Amino acid sequence: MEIIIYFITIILIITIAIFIAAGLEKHITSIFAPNFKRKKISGKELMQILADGIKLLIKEDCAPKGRKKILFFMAPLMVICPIVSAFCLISFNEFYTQLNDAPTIILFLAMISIPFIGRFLAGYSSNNKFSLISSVKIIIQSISCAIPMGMSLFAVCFQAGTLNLNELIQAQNGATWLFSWNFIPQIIGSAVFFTSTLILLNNAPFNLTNSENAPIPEYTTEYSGLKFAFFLYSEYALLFLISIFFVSLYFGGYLSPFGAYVLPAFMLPFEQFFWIILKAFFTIFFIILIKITLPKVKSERLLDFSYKILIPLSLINLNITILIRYFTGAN
Amino acid sequence: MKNNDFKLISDFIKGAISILKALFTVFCSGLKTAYTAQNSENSDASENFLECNYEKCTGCEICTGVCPSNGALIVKSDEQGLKKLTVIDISKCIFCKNCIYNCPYGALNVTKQYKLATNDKKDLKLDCKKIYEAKLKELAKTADIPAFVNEEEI
Amino acid sequence: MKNILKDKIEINIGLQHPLNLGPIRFLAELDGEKITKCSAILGYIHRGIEKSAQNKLFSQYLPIAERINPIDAFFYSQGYTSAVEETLGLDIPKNAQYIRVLTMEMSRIASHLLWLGGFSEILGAKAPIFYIFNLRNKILDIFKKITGGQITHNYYIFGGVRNKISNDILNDILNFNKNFNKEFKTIENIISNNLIFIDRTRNLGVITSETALPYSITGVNLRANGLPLDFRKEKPYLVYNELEFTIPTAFEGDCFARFKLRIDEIKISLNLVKQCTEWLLANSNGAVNLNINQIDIKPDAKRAISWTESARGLIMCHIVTDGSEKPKRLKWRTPSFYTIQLLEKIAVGHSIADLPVLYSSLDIASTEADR
Repeated sequence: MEIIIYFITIILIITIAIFIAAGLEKHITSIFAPNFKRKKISGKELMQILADGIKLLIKEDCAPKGRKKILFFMAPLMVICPIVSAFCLISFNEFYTQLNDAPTIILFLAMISIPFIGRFLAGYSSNNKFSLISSVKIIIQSISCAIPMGMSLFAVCFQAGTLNLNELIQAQNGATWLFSWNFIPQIIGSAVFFTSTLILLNNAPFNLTNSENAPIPEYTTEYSGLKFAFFLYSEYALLFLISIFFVSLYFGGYLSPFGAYVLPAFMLPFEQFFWIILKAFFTIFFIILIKITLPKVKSERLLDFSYKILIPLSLINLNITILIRYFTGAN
Repeated sequence: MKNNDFKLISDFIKGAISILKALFTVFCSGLKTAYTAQNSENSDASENFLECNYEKCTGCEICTGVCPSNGALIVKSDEQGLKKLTVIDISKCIFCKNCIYNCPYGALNVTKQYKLATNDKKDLKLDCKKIYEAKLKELAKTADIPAFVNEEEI
Repeated sequence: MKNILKDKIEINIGLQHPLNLGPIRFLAELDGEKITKCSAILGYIHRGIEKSAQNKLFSQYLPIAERINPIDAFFYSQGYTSAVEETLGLDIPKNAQYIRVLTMEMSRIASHLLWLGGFSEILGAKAPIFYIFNLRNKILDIFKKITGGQITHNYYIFGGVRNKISNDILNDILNFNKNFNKEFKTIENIISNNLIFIDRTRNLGVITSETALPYSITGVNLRANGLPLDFRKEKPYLVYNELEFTIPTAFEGDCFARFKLRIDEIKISLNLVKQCTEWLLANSNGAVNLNINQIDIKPDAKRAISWTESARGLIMCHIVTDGSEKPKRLKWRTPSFYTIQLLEKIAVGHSIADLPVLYSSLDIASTEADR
């Protein structure tokens, strides 16, 4: 009986997350990069997202003849399952969390790295020379985003002393309200983490596999139906997830910027939920604004950028935090 | 190669500033045009359908001579034996207005109608006499003057 | 499955392109990701424009000449009417010449803005297109007030221009001129100083004069390597020898230099528009056309060539008449036909992801190429 309730809540949370991310994208592109007939977006046009999902459910599931059967079947599952299971690691308020002693940050990093393998296998197992070319670029993306992300995460963990996300947020609960959050002592680290999330999300300026204007198709050409829906909607779910993670690492999570809470004490869980969702909205807005403004980068230059700029900066950040903690004498 | 490395760093800093400047201008101009954008007006002389003033036309056939697409304007004799422009074929017209400019009596002019979608191509051949009579009837409804004057009253 | 590392793949870059390029087909042979051979196939929009001139009267052909490339409509009208006027031996009045130069320069600005929008979209940025097209719509609104149409006009006739431009419209043009620089600066902030943009287009597709001149390339593609060849100064037609302007050049010859050069050309055209409107406001009483009957035109047996510099290169119109009311032979020389052949040579050695950037920086319009 309980399993059914868990199942339904998971599906509800995922659909709400996808709705928020995709709906925000439609609203923001309609204001800042619109079509020429300016219609304001109302609620009815957001139902198109739901309609797309239902349409993909009832389509025929065809597959090419010479494919590698087990890998072809497993690739979309490898993309969507870690993202769904990572939703249990983030915390929306300080009362309803279960994993109070576990090292959640390492688990999160592990779960974020699995979708890359899934995307590569999708291109490799379809019997198509163009998908293979496109899926090789996914490997370039994964190489260049893994190390800076890990280094800047470890810098935050050294400063707070724990590996648990909930305790990291509580460690930012200092005396000076807004300025005890982590983005001030770790300003280089937050910038490096932000750019590596752009690479992770397949977002401009690093969307190497986006094929709107190039003559080569993507790694998902041989998929149809629900499997294609997994690839499409996993990006939106990942956008929501990463923005909440970024906010809880560097911007104080569910803590309010005024130090004290505005509403009375029995409404505390709702107020913390409101603060974290508000901050996540701002990061999603910034990511989508970057997506519509900047042009693409060449695939060779991405490795240059990552190895010559991102990795040195993250290592400098790590060294500075270790030295400061050594000299101020904390454990 | 120290020079190369410093150049890379200075290029990167200039580039990061330019990217942030680009984002800022998109943000500002997006908010500005969200509230001040206007659609352009549909002025009178646009590429719309033609109509013919049936009384002024004398059947000189200059308009068919100047039309680049053969068959858009057809001149025939009507019931009283007078030669007049009877059919305008919209499916062959390219809206170049050569006929309007070259008609010596000013019988052709541009309407404000531009929307027409049908399932049958025969609906695209407009009958000039019927359109002219319908326009006269509408004008007569709104005017205060009677449509004709009785000659005995003068 | 073939071994990708050893064999060569042949792919077809098909008829439909996500730009205002038109129907052209490329067959490219790839070796890994590098192109080893590229060949273009034309002819999908051939409409028989040169042959249909032999069956039509002179004034019946005017709307067809505009529609060879609807973006450059004024340039083609100018080419045709000045060729026919040369066989008739006519001299256009001064007011008509200034009006023709004014409308041609404004259409050059509109054509370059359209190119800019397409170029930034093919690199991946979606936001600048709206602001560029907003600016271009202001020019098209001015055209609508003058001639009645936004893209196809039917405004030039043999002997001048159809009607006068009133003083209200001239003041509108001056206002547009004043506000243009401020609004264009926001677009430049988004695109041209951007590090990613510069990094993607620099040192790509270098055209030197030794490769370009045998293919008879003209226009921006040739001037981007330092050769200042502009037919407004070489063979001045209309009133270009009375107006003051300089020819912009660049020196590297890559995609970024062509991009900068087109933006410089927009600024020079703005200056020309300003000089023309000020002259027209000062001398507003003048005949705008010689009142010729447009239909009874029967030139003697002559041969005439007219030269026009359009936004993409050089347009030549060669007309042969005998004594009848229809021309005997009409030949057009269009610039895009030659840049497509240049593209086949330059694309060798670049990777396939660079090909869209290359062919959109050359500014090809396929309706011109197969007329």
